[in-house]
Amino acid sequence: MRGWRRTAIFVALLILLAEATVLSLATGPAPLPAGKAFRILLSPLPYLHGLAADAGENERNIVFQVRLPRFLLALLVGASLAVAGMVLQSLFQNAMADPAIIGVSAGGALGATVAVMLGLDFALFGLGPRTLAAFVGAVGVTGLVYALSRRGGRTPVGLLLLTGLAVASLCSSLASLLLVLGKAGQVTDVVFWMMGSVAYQGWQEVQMILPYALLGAALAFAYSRELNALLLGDEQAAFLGIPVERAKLVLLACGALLAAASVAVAGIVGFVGLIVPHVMRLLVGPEHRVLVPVSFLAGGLVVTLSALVATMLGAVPLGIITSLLGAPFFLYLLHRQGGYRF
Amino acid sequence: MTLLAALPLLEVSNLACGYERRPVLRDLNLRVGAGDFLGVIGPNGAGKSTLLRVLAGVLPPTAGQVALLGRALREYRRREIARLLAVVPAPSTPIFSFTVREFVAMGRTPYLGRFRSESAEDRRVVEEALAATDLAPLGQRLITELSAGEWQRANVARALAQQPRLLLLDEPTAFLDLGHQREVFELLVDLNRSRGLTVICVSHDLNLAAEYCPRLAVLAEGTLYAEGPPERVITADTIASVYHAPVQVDRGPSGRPRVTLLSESALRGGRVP
Repeated sequence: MRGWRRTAIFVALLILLAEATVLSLATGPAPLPAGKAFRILLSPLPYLHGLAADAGENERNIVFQVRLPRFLLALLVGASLAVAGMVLQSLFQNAMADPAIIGVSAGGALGATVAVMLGLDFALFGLGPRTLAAFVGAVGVTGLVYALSRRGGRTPVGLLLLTGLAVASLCSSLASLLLVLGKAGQVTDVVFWMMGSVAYQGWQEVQMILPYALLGAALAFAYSRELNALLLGDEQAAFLGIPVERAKLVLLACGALLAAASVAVAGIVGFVGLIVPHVMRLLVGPEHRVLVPVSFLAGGLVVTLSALVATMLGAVPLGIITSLLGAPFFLYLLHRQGGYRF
Repeated sequence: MTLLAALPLLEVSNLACGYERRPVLRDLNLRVGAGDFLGVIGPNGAGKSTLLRVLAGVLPPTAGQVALLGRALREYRRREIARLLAVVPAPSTPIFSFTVREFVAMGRTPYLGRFRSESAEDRRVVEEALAATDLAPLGQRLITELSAGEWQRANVARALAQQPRLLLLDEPTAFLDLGHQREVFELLVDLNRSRGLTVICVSHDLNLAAEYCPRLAVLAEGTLYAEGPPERVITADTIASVYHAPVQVDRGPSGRPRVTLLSESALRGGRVP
């Protein structure tokens, strides 16, 4: 029954992720056999140095400086977006919620646009102004949405949702206005960023998102019971002894930070935060102690595979691939379910 | 011990409550002792559901107070309240496909630490709650696949898993057919008698409430209109003036009052006693 299916899906995800790891290291403009890429990957481990004795310095560089960070970034971005989407869907008791709905994506886009248009030039921990401004924009706008949705000590979910939509649309218009006023080079820069990519990033970006991805997912897991109860509605969660407003604030911050970190390092990678948790909920059920880890792995898998496809196709941005694959799949799901169900 | 026994489980004094500027409850006083089975009846908009939400501590009163075991409800933490009282909400259709067991196990939430998984004791309580509501064979069924009666029993089971002293129910038989109505109330009577569980049940169905509840409180326009055993509370005068509808009250086979609505034609036919 469900217990077996859960174990099977967990194991399948781990196996597929291992496959995706090797494929990601082997795929790129310079050909590298999968076996050799795998041996190079293992060679820094103690006693295994001899494994990659036949590999040149160049091949090592390709694996460790280009493909491994790209793979890890895709993995962490996917995992973060999926967990963020899952948290927000449960918080809103709505299977159609995703990180865009609380203004994270629009805030990130506005931040990045401002940074590029102002021609800001500085670096913090090896991160450029566009990344940092996107993060600040994403977190700031979500905070604004939350503040605007407070009513007498409460944050009604419906109000939060509508405020999010309105503020997101305002941010998008502001970003578009800035783009119209910008120079051609700047516009191309922002537009490409908005399409989402992990192709040109390195270890700094991995380092930036890593703590958010791990701590965010751990926090979501620690709040599994709250998420389960909130799925039944705010009042029922309160009946079960949960301080609802505090839990909502913690979870909203958790979802926003996860999504903001991934928007900052990879731009807008659409549909992952919407579809992955949705499909995983259909497969393993809504129990969050299972759903959190499974969504984390599945999100990572989907984005690493999409990044792989993007690499194979040349310079196609990752966000285009996830949307191209995600939108039809989502339509298929809606059609097959014939309705609206968690 | 005698002191504790003399203390009412729940005491409502001079309660007022409302949304925004519209008062819903006013000057309401009510005592519920341990082991009581109280039915709350009254017309639409009388404040029945609001009262339940105030008693459950999710809606703060604007005046007066609710005391649970002698201590004001607002001084409790949410978690402590959930260990003493459980709420069976008004029936709704589940859209999340938890299994029955997962759903009932949520009743253990107020007992579990953040990083603690269910102990043997927690599992025993959940199994017992499933058994008490005849749901043990359906533990692995999805709640989205239950019949209306089974779903309502699952809600009672989840409440029982909280091991409460007091059970609050909001229209537990709304939308249920006769068989399921009986099933739910027989279960409540049994829980009240065999475990001494205190029950407060809001009901829109006068006859069900009169048949099963040993004590009734009639709410009208936000305050207590009458209170006492059904025989005293359910009279043609009381019901007619509270519900603004002519009724005939006689006795059912169990001796409890039975309310019959009088239509225009019944009134004209002159068959009023």
